[in-house]
Amino acid sequence: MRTNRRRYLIAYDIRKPVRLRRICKLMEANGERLQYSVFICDLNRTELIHLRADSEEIMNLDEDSVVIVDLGELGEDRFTFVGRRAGLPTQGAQIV
Amino acid sequence: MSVGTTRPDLPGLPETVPARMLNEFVYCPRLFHLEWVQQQFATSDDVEEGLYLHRVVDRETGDLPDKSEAWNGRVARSVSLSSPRLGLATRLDLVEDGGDGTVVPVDYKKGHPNKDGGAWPSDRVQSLVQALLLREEGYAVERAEIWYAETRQRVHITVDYAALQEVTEIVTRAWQVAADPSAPPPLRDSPKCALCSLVGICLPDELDALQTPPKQRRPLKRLMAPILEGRPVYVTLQGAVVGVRSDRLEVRLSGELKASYRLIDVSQVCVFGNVTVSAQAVRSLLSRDIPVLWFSYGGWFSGIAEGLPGKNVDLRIAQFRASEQQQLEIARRMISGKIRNSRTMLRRNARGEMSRVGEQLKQLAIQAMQAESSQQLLGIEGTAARLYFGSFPAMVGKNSRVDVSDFQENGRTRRPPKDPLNAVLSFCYTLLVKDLTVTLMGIGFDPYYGMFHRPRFGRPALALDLAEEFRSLVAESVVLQVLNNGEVGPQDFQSRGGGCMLEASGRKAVLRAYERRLDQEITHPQFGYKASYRRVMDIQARMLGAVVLGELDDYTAMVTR
Ligand code: SF4
Repeated sequence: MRTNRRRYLIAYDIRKPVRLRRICKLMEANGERLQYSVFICDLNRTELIHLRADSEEIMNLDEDSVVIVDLGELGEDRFTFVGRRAGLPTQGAQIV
Repeated sequence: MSVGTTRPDLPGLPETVPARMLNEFVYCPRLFHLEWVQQQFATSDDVEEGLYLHRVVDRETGDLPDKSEAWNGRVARSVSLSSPRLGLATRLDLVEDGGDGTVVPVDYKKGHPNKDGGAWPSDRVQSLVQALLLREEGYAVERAEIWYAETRQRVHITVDYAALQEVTEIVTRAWQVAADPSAPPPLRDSPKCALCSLVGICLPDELDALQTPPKQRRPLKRLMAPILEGRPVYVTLQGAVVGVRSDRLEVRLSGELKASYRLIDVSQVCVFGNVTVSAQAVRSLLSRDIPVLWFSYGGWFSGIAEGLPGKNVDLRIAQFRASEQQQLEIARRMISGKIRNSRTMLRRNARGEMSRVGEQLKQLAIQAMQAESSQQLLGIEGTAARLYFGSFPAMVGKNSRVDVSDFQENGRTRRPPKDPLNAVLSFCYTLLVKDLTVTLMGIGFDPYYGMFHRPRFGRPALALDLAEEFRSLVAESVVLQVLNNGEVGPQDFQSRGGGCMLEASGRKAVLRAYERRLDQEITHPQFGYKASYRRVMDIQARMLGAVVLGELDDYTAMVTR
């Protein structure tokens, strides 16, 4: 299937538990958890803007930080797992 | 100068037109009609970026003074103004003190000025409307300004008699377009369309191509409509509960999480048999325009929940008003297309001698185009179906693990399907009709009122109509694929009480193959660009809309060569 999405690695450091919980929720809505405060998110331009705007809404911009790393086109070639393997986002129809 | 109302005195028209919509009107009158009159909405990356930027710009200078304070002081932000007398409304980003007893409206734009360093015509009109409304409130306005964020430039606009005269004329024309139930025609070959957020709804190049005789048609460069990121989720796990948490769809069995997907990946949720969808999940899915579809365990399509119905009421009116002649003409083309597609299917896949059947189908396709009544068309379609299904088993290869000899005897049977081949066929048709129902509803059609199929027995008649041309292309092609590739075997079926049903494993295999088919890209026979079947189904439904709305003379069925 065609997509306009790119893959982003997003890590965060949030100082207050309340804000941390809200950022976690936001990241869960947008990606798959790779490690404790690291997510992999496949997003198109609009989705990335929404994520950014929503993060800024939650964060204290003087204390907290969110870093967004563009990993380029979708694919999992860039990941090497040592130890427990985390699930990466998948595409296509989902059948449970 | 005094300006009077430009609004036509027609009952039911809104009191005022928002300046934002006039901006759209100057960009493209059709866009204005689609957005404001028909309330069709779509967003684009550019629109979203603009909104985000607006937020940032707004915040940069701190808190907004409230309105009363602003009017006494130097600056006011986010001020709403409207004048029923002028028939106009607007929201101003910023109003500054001009210094000499005048005030200056300032508008933020994400982009850049035009190449002469001036304002774009649509932006200019929006600013002039703001000036007009400020004057109406009793303020002196001699200039307006637009701040272009990309180049960080301010552009001045002189507010004089000529400018106000110009904007009044535009507003008059906009009201005339708004008062007309049919939208203006699309722009032709305009670079504006590529940047328009509604291009996927409007399909200007496609409409233009179909109005051009096939010989003079140039292939379109590409499909401009945005990519649909969402995908269906099928829940076949018996006893499962579907819920929504943190904007993710979660499927649980006895409390244990079985699957979890981002809602931004979900286009529809299909549940089979004993699966519960929580009330809260239904609500949050519907608020995101994600329909929920229910099927019996055996795969019978039994219901759909959708957000509010499409607001495009003019389309529904046109659909119900279509004359019998027009309905027949559309049906002829759909059925003829279906017959031609089934002939192509046989020609490509059947072993053995098919030239006689092929010739007969060809004749029937021609006859279908000339049918004088829907009764006659029904007869032609029936004859073609018997011929086609008589040869259908010849397309099932030697490698198939499923025995199709029963089908040879039974022929096509529906409720219940009597043998494995009938069971897979029925299931694939259900899926096809499901997707066309969702597509038609999304556009604003009533799926229960058809052109060919009678509107009775709770059947989504219009979806069944549109399904005709896709039966071979999508459903039957999936059937052959799962049989010939051995994706389903005898163990995937269960016979009970004279009927044959797909088992859970078989159903999953068919679902996978079906979704794969919808994602498969083909070169569109009319437009020349590549598009997935999923997209082609959407385009056909929109073209059907254009035909009933009178924007297109004839319907053209999807027929592959
Ligand atoms: S796609 Fe083109 S014709 Fe259609 S509304 Fe947008 S600008 Fe107008």
